[in-house]
Order: sequence, then C-alpha cells, then structure tokens
Amino acid sequence: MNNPLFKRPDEPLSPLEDAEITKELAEAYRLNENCEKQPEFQRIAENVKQRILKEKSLSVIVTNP
Amino acid sequence: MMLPDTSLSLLSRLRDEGDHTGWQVSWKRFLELYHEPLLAMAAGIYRHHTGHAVPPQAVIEDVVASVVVDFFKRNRFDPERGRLRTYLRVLTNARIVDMLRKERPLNHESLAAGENSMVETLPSETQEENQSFQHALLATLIEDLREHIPLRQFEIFEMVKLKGMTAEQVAIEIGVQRGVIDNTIYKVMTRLREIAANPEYLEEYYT
Repeated sequence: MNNPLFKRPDEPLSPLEDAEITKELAEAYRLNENCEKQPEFQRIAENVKQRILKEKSLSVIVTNP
Repeated sequence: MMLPDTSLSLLSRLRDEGDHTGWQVSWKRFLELYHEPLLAMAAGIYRHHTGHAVPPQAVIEDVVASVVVDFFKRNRFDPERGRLRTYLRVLTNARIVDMLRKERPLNHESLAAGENSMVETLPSETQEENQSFQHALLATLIEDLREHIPLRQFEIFEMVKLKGMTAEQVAIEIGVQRGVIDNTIYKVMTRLREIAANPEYLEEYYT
C-alpha cells in the first residue's frame, strides 16, 4: 500500500491521509525514542562497543608492533 | 555529482578516520535507528538457511553487532550505487553464513559447495523485516527533518504530530496563538514531504 507521505509534495493531503501519516510517524518516533531502555538494545550496544575497542587495540598493535 | 544532504547520504560518510569520538556517536545513532530491522533481517536469514530453525537470541544479537561494526569498518555504502536495505542484507547474510559455517560439525565438509550459494543468494525479505525497515526509515526522515528546520518549529511539530498533544495544548504551553501552531505544522509538514520526495527515500521505502 502507498504511504501518502510519499505523494508528490504539491498534491494536497486529505484529512484521512494526514491522520495516517501522523500515526505512522508517531509510531516510528515512539519506537526509536524508547529503544535505549530495551535490554536487547543495551546488550547489542555493549557488544558493538567491545568489538570497536578490540578493533582499535588490534590496529594499535599493527601500527606499533 | 553532489549527494543530497539527507541522513541517508550522511550514512555513507559517517566514519571519521581521525575522530574516534565521532565514530562512537555515529554508530550509536545508527544502531538506535536500524537495530530493529537488523534483528528482523538476521532472524529471517537465519531461519532461511537452517530450514526454519528458531534463531537463538544471543546469536542474532551478536550478528547485528558484527554487521554494525562491518558497516562502519568497510565504509562502502553509497546510496547512488544501491539501496541501504540491500547493502545491510548482504552484510547480514554474510555474517549468518560465517556463523553457521563455524558451528558446522567437522564431518559436514561436503556442505562447502552449498555455502557459496548461501552467500550469493539473498533470501526473500520477510514482512516483519520490511515493516521494521519502514519504521526505521521514517525515524531517519524525522532525524533529517530536525536538521533542516529551526529548533522551535521542530519542537512544535514534535509535540503535536509525534507526541499527540492538541494544537490548543501546545499554544498554551508555549504561550502563542493557536494560529501560530497551525501555520507551523503546515510549514513543517510541507518541508517533511519535500524531504520524503527525495528518490533515496522512495526507493528505500518501497520494496
């Protein structure tokens, strides 16, 4: 189904389309704003952090053997 | 050709070689925006390659972390050459295949030929993955909008359109006439639709 948000900007939106866009945006915003509180997100972020630290320490070893 | 100044094109230049702090801020923001579709991608691809086995949560999270690091380390995403979702699916598929290869019992060496086709052929996108990616894209669009309009306008838009306050409530809260709120919302929605009309967004949004 086409999302009215992606209609040509010069085409007017009906109240129904405007309400549909608002609902979709609010849902995306809510999911994004709350993600940092999720334990799943926190575990992945910690995992990424550890991997980056490992990458950096490896690059230091390669640069200064 | 100059790339349009959108969050999607910014993703291709996120990594700043000399600035470790910048890298850290960038990956965190990227993870906030895209961890949900990456989780859905990893789970769908895992199920595809294992005959619909239930993916262990720890494995899927590890794959997502690895894909995020890969994304920044390789630094090869270019919106002019292909879609972000395809690029992320290729990285995710490669990590899943690597992981399955490592887990394979030593007496299953004969699977090697099949593994090459696992890497080359991307499984179909699941509905969950598509929906999750669309949400991430809308969140990216909001981020993009935030960078393109004055802060006050964004705050009004955020309160009315994203947090569900009425125009009257916002007018009272910030001490302006109701008409100011309506005008601002109209202006911001027009700007949002202009940004969304960027072909990058259209191509990424629709499968």
